[in-house]
Amino acid sequence: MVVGLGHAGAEAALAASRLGSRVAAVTQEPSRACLMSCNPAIGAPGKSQLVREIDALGAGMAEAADESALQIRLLNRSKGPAGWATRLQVDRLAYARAMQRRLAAAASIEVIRGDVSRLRTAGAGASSRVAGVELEDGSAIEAGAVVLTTGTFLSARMHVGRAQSVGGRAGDRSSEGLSVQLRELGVQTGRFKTGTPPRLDGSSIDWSRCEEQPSEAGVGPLSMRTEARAFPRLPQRSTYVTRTNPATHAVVMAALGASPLTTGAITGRGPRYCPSLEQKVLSYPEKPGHVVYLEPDGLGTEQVYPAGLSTSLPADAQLKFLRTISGLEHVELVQPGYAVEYDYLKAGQLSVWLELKALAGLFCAGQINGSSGYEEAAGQGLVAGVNAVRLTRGAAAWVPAPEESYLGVLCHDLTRRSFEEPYRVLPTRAEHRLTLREDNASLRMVPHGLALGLIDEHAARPVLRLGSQIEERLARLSAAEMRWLQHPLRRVEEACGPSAPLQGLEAALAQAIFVAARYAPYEEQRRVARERLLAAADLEIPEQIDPRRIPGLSSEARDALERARPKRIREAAALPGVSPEAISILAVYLRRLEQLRVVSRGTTD
Amino acid sequence: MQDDDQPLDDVLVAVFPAPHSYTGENVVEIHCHGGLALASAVQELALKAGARLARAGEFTERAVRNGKMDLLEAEALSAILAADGPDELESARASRRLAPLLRSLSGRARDALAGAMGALDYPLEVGDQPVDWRAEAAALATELERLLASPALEGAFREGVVVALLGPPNAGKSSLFNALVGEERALIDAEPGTTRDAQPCALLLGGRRFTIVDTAGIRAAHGIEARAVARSLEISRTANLLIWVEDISAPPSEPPVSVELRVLAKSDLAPHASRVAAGWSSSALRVSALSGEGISELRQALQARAPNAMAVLSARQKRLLEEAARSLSRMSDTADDLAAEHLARAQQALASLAGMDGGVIDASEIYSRLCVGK
Repeated sequence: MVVGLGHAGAEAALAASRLGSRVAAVTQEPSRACLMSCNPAIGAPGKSQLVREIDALGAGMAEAADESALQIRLLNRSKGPAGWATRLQVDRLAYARAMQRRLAAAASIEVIRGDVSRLRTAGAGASSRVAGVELEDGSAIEAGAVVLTTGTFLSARMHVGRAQSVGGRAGDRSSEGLSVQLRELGVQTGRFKTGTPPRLDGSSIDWSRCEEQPSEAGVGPLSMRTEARAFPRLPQRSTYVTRTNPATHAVVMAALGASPLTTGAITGRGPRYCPSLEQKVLSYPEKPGHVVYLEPDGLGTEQVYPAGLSTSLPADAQLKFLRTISGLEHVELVQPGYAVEYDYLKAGQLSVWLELKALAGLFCAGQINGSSGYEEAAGQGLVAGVNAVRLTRGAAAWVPAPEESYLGVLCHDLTRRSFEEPYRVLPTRAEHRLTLREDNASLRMVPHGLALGLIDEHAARPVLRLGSQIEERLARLSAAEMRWLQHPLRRVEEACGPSAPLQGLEAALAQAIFVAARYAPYEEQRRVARERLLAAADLEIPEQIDPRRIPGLSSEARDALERARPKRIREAAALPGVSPEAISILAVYLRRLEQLRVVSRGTTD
Repeated sequence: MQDDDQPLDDVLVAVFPAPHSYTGENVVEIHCHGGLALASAVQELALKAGARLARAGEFTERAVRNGKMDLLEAEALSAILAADGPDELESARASRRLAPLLRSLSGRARDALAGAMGALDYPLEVGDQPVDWRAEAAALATELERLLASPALEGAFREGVVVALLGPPNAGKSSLFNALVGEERALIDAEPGTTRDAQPCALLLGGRRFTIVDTAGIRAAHGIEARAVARSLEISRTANLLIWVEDISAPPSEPPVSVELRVLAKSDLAPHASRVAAGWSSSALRVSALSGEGISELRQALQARAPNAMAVLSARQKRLLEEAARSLSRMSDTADDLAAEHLARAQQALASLAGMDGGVIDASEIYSRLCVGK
């Protein structure tokens, strides 16, 4: 049973159906399934890798984005392959339809229109488990497992200026009953806020006053199942770049009194990486302007998404500040920007496979877990869907490893750490970011997809073959050839040249080997560091140590250590809220103390 | 205090309630009277009552655990407590003053790393407000190089000023070494090339610690001796003061490296200045291990020429500084993804140098410097 059909719910339903389960998916409005509520784009550093990883596990997101791509860019192109990130701007409606087609094509998924009012449970106390859901029309659906993907719809409030309304997205309702029931179960919820910019009428924009940014050629599709020759399928559209200016900021400042951010109407924390224009103007008064990307919303619409202008000011103030911006002097609003506040589950209440500890069989995915972003939602949806099925079959839960995928980083971070703002995957968060690249995402994940039953042998075979070719070839390279390939200024073209190590190889294979060779020494170092950390597992933590005094530990890790008082590093590592970083800090601290004792031996103090 | 019924001593007891004590814990000090016997009896009494003796450094260790001081401070403090002479004490104090500098270096590395990761994480958002993190890292690298090269940091603290005796074989280095340190330490033999292993020996001159190192004679040599010669030259690179020792009765020789001091040994073989061949350095000091001529002058010269030992890094601190400098130097010519990795390692080394945990930069730190996002 899947509640909600956004990016998390859809992947949960698709994954469960690929594993052969019967899935009921309840949504308020099936025609609005998988609509992008905000920026119509897939991919960014971290996110692009994540999308490719779940693609190798059979998810629909990458294919749907390839089918509906309007503008293609390779971000961080000059920063080395580990930094590369494919970003696709898509036709918003085409994307939603591509996903809806996939849901409709899966024979074992039944999409049900409705509002879930309650969860049904069986058993009591520690043995209580979920048994199904009740809909507002009084009907009930039995289920062995439920995946809850409420997005921003849990006790949702929308804000435009001083006006408040109940709802999770422009035109959609809020779910209230579930919030109440979760709290009855003892689940702790917090409030997060997110926002979206106004939508503009493209026919009222003077494009000549903006800088054009065309779609890039030669960038491959996101999905390993999309044929490179057939990509992109849709005609390409440019994005246009303009900026805010001091006049814009003056209008914003004057209207701040009516902003729900300053009136105190909004209490939830919003993502810092997605600040509203109000927040930007307040936090960076010295900046004369902020960049604005005018992105097309689709082929069949004039609607434009102005990235960088998220706001919850009153609609008239929005129009006023927009018209101070170059190119937007005569712009018309299609829909004002707004902020949404919603409930999320505070960290520590979910297992790392996304099942609620307080109620067996209830899985949660997406914004309800405190994340933001379509890609993050889709990744969690897939993990929740897979594990919901495995639970009903009595199989052990599947947990992706953070060393191996952004998907693993995502699940571990969300369930083991707490964040004060909606969570986004970022290379910074991945300890093994040099290993977790777009180019090897399918190599990393296809073996799991095959083992779990998410993809078939036919789909896996070419990837597995490529993987063994790369390994074989790498093993045959001499140490001197490896060093030659690893030279910082080496280019793949040289490596394929006459009598060079990769001469005569097919371009894709040569590129893959070239990149793998480049990062091989770093992967080795990471592996060694990891082993050293494992070797610290038995280090004793003396009782007198006060975790609150250990410099550099996050307050969260300190609290966790303070509460649980683990005796060894191994026990500390198993605590929620104690990240691998905290563990390495602790290990270093203990070893330094040991060293200090040796240094000061022979000294009286 | 009394042992059972037997009165032992009238003592003064000072109570330091936690956290207002050196260790941050409850501390009781017992001040007793007079001689060793009474003090031992009081100690025995305490042990009988269940106390145990502190391990060396345990009080400082507890102070660190209880957050009364950070590790860096403790490290410097343990050097202060271990200081043998006033100069050594002064340089230990200087090390303690070094802590804020090390912390600021670590902070700068962190800032640069936040800039690097911000640019990698947010290419669209950071696009129009680039932070020149490579320039920040380069400036940091220059500073580290400067710090590492500064003579004030040369020589491991516990060795004091390292003085190496260099010279041709059989010039009398080992005899001079023995005369300087005042005991028969080095193996002496009339056969040239006896000294194959450098033998360090500590010497306290005017309250300052010197370490005198005897070395194998430098000449074209083979086998085990060739390796010893190579080691002599190696030692000459790490010593603070080099003395070139030659035989006053032998033909003049030129040191292969620049030296601070030249001496003519075996001056008893040439009692008259007129017998010294023309062209020999007039500044060279005449010394004789046999007659004792020039030995006290040489000791004074050593004191006069020793660098003012200031802040001195421990071997661990120096290794971390070098590690950071090496990582930063690897950044040039690499693409941003790998450059950021090297920068992260440098930051890790500096953070651990400053007694903070290293390496992991919280994503939220990036935002404190950049306006990111859409």
